[in-house]
Amino acid sequence: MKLNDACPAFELPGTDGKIHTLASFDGKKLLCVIVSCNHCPYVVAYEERMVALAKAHAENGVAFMAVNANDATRYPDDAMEPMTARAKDRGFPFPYVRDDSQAFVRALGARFTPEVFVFDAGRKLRYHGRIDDNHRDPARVTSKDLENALSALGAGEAPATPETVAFGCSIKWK
Amino acid sequence: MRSYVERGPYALYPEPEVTENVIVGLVHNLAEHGKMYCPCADVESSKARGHEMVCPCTPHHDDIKRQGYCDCALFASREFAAGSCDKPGPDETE
Repeated sequence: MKLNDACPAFELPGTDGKIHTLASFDGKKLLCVIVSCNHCPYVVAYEERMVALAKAHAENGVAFMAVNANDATRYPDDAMEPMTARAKDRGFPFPYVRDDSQAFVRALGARFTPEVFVFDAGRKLRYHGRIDDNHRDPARVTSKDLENALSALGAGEAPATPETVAFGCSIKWK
Repeated sequence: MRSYVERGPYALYPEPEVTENVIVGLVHNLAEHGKMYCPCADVESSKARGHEMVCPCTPHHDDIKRQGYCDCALFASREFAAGSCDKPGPDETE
């Protein structure tokens, strides 16, 4: 999807046992959707930063949601049960939902894990791309792209860099 | 990598930013673990599979056949590379 496109509708089960929809995030200034999974080393490297960002921006009305659409037949580690264990183990402060049909993630146009889509209060896409520029070593990050975008949008400004190229593992399509 | 692409049936994934990151991951694994294990797979699991997950890995042929590119998004079919790189999945590459 392109910048300013509307967030596709979704109705997805989470590891918390709830069904999550766009309406679940009503009242939140920003919705940060991270296309994620369980087994990708890039995601594993970023999980701590995802949790920290979600906690840091929660009081500013920013909601996070991680969505796993990987084909769980070929990658059983990405099924709901291991997802539930992962969310608990990592202490995810945000919903971790399963897109088994892959329809939502396809509608986003996502290709990699992790890949970030930030929607404003009107649920229009305002940032798309990577979390930052160094998954291996947080100390060597030179461009905190998601952090910068959330800060700018939180201040009512447009992100200086609204699009970056996401990198990671390819989504495991059915 | 270059000779594999030049002599083999595949092209590089058509986004240099993406392939550059994969190559950095391969070099990192070579330096840290002694082999160019696929950066999109857990290294310890890859070690247990012998040479299977050393780039170019055994599954990359099936990956490219199924979705147009390998799971690391390093190699792609020449058809995929020649077309739009915005294709999100196999539905669009068939």
